[in-house]
Amino acid sequence: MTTQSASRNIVWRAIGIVVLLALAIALPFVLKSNYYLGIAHQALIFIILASGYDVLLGFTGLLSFGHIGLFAIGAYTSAIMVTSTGAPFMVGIMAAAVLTGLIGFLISIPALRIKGHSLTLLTLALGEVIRLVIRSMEWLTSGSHGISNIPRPEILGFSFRQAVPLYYLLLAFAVLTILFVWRLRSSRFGRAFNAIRDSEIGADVSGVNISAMKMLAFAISAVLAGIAGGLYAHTVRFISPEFFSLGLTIILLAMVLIGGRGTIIGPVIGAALLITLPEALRFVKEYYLLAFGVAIWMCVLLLPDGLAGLGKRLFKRARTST
Amino acid sequence: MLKIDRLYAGYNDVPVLRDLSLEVKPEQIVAVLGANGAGKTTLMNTLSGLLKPASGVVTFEGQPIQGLQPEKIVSLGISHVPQGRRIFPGLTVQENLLVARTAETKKRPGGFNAILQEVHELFPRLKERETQLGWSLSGGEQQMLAVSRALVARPKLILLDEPSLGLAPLIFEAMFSAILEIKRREKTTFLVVEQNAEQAMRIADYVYVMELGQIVAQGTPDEISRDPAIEKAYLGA
Repeated sequence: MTTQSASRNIVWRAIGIVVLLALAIALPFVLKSNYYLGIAHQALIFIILASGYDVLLGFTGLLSFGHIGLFAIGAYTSAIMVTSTGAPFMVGIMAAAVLTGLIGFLISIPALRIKGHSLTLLTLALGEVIRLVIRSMEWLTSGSHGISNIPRPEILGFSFRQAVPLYYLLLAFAVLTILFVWRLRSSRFGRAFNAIRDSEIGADVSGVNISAMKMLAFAISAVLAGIAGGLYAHTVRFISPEFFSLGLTIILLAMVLIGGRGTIIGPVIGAALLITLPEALRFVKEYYLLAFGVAIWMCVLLLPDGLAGLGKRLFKRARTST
Repeated sequence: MLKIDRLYAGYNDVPVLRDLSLEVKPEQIVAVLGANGAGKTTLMNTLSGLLKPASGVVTFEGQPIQGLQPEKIVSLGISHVPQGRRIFPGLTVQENLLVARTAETKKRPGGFNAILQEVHELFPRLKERETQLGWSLSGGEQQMLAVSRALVARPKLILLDEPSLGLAPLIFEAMFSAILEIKRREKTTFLVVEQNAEQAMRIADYVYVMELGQIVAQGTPDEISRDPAIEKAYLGA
């Protein structure tokens, strides 16, 4: 690639980012109903969750099936803090981030010794254990009744109770998350994560401290899951253990894979698509799951690098044909 | 510089290296020759910390290093170019090199940029391909990148595992002359394991012959190539 076309790529990318951001800012003016704004809220929360999940899956090559467990801990931590102690929203979010970060770090310790499928199975078990513990700790979590009447966010007296302000708050969190993972990708740590994904032996002989880097990747993605969980609790205002099931883990995985793992924009597209697609497919009624399944199947077959990869391919083709 | 004394190592109780001893003197190129399965790669992996030895002592500049973590061994001045190169296909050529930066890299005048310039002089191909992803490189370019990546940590000793593997004759000629050039410029010591004995003997200062995890012969390349038994068994005469 010549430097000229590389800089032209950067220009195109910058234009794309500005357009996407403008669309995101303009969206509440188009979506008048609270119902559609509610879907947009969900999409933004899952953009944060999927971007964090990609730090593990796309950056470092570690497949965890326990990520929704961390999302759940984040949601419950913030919800309990705010409803039972009356702590401010930001304190609840911060507590969620710290606690999930700590738990992510603890999960990484056994994960250092086992690899591949065994690691995935271990995280699958951990995710389920987290859900069952939440359900059985009734004194704290009200068990399967769930926690209701979680207040909408309020920061320094400014209330985000209405759908539109809440949308912009979530958008701000999502943009900060994307900026963070984007900076992370090109940092020393991001390169080390990628090196471990590409060749653990190669990373080892290059002096990369594999254990420390894996722990860091787990902790970072856990912190983002905790923040997303906290935001979820205060947005939806009701949480129960059943929501954080294995099915949601699969959807999260599909978001990252369909969008394109390790690409920054991929999880964003994937999350937005998989949250809105069920709404768009409403007209097929009970065949919705069938259509959804076929859509995912086609994506995996036709787009091995996800939608982000498709964009890149089309862009390349357009350039070579002119 | 590097001394291996009565080393035993293997995988899950299957011993591969048995009572292996050898020595590498500074600023030499030492070749270890042997057939497939002789334990050459096991030796390299044990030296770089990828594999923990069962027993024995490895000293580097007088300090025992056996059983240390790989990143610690890199920081002491030993870099390993593993078999199969193990470059990072999803990173660009430059990012591949950036991953290997250490405290030692930054300590030297010019830091990482000085290394980058040296690498580009040694392998102009890598400069041309600087922004391309690792997977798009040819086998020869990947080997160049793997050797360059080892140089980033400013090693005193480089462990080279089968540098000629899968390379066309013309390419590994170039690879070997690059090794001689690195040795001349940086005073780097090399421990090279090779199946291609003929090539390795041309650049080596001293040669060990390995069989079933043990050293069975040693000497200068001249001595080794004159030994009729060795010639018959290992050099394919």
